[in-house]
Amino acid sequence: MQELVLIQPIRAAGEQWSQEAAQAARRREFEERLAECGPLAFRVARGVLRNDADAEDVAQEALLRAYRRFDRLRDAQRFRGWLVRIVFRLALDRARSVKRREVREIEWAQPTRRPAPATAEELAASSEFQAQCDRALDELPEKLRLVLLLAAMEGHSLQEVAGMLNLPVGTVKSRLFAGRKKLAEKLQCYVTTTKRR
Amino acid sequence: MLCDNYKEALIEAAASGAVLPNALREHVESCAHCGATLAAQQSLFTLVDAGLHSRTNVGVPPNFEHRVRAALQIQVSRGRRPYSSVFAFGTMAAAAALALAFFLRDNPSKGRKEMPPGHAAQTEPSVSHPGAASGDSKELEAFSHQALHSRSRVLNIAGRPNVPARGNSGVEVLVPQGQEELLVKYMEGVAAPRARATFSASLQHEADMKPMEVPSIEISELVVKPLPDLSSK
Repeated sequence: MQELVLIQPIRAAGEQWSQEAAQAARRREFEERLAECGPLAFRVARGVLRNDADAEDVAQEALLRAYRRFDRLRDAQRFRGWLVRIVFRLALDRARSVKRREVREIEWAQPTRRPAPATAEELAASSEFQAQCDRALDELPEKLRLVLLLAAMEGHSLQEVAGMLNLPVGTVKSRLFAGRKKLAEKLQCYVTTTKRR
Repeated sequence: MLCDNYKEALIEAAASGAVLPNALREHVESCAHCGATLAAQQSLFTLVDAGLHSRTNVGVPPNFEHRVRAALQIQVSRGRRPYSSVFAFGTMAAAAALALAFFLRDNPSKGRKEMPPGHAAQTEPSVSHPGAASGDSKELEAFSHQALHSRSRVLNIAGRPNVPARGNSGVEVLVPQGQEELLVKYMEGVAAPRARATFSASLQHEADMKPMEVPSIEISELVVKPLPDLSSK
């Protein structure tokens, strides 16, 4: 009797299909998280870089990096904090690589400015104060800076910030307090400005 | 000055936003300077918070998510390439190795140095034969002759069935003494043409699949058995 061997690549195809299905599921899950955490990534990058284009680049790079390493994330609940740390690190690297500080200082040295703001809110929104605040923030230690940014962003509570950074609430609270205090010391000159008004 | 003692406490209170302790509150109420200091510090922290808030809560560009999705798509499509390129490289490497093996089998003399005819008979058994270490020259010579003879027979069957052996050229197989016949039978089985038809259903979802024609095979009995895991699916 002749031997007829039927080679059906169903098993191999099935493995390939299951791989593709797993990849598609992973991508769907990631895209859900992208819709949820994309703005946060952009804002963290923007908070460090203060430039929309750079922030967009960095946030996109961080999200792609997060996608590549998505399998390594054991606890999906920690995605936000994980992403925040990736974005913050990349944004710091970008900020260091680009010499923006000199540009800002040149801008700061220019005497022609807008008229003096009348209220504290206007002063806070003024480019002069923003530039000074940016410089003061840049000089803060990274761990304080990240806590300050996250606490001011999207109305995060202390618990949420602590959850994102995987830190105790007390640590976040003390870092927030220390960061605000350091910022206030650096912006002390604005006290007299507002007091005179 | 007494008010200097309260300055740090006032800054702390303004920073934390906590209620002033009774002693400090009484002092602030009675001292205009400390009251002004507290108000200034509170306004400073309000400024700091407002500055941070306006800086961090910027609007996200409207097409940001779309761009990230597009970049993600590109990355996913790029991510498939390395696998396919590795697969293609592996296939090419395997094909090259096979070609090299066939070339060396057909032209074995090109792959090694030319040696005098008696040289192999004198040196090779000294490596493979256990009795070589004893220095028994007669036993060594007999073993060498047998080994060479065995190699020629194996070459005659496996390499070129219809071509007589040419001395020690060709594929060399060292055979343990007494097992030459076993190897010859094995190689006869390998070299014999086997009636084997291969049917590949790689495009199983294709509707217009034509039936396979196998003219040279006579099938007296065909038993089709589904694979166990496929039947469960």
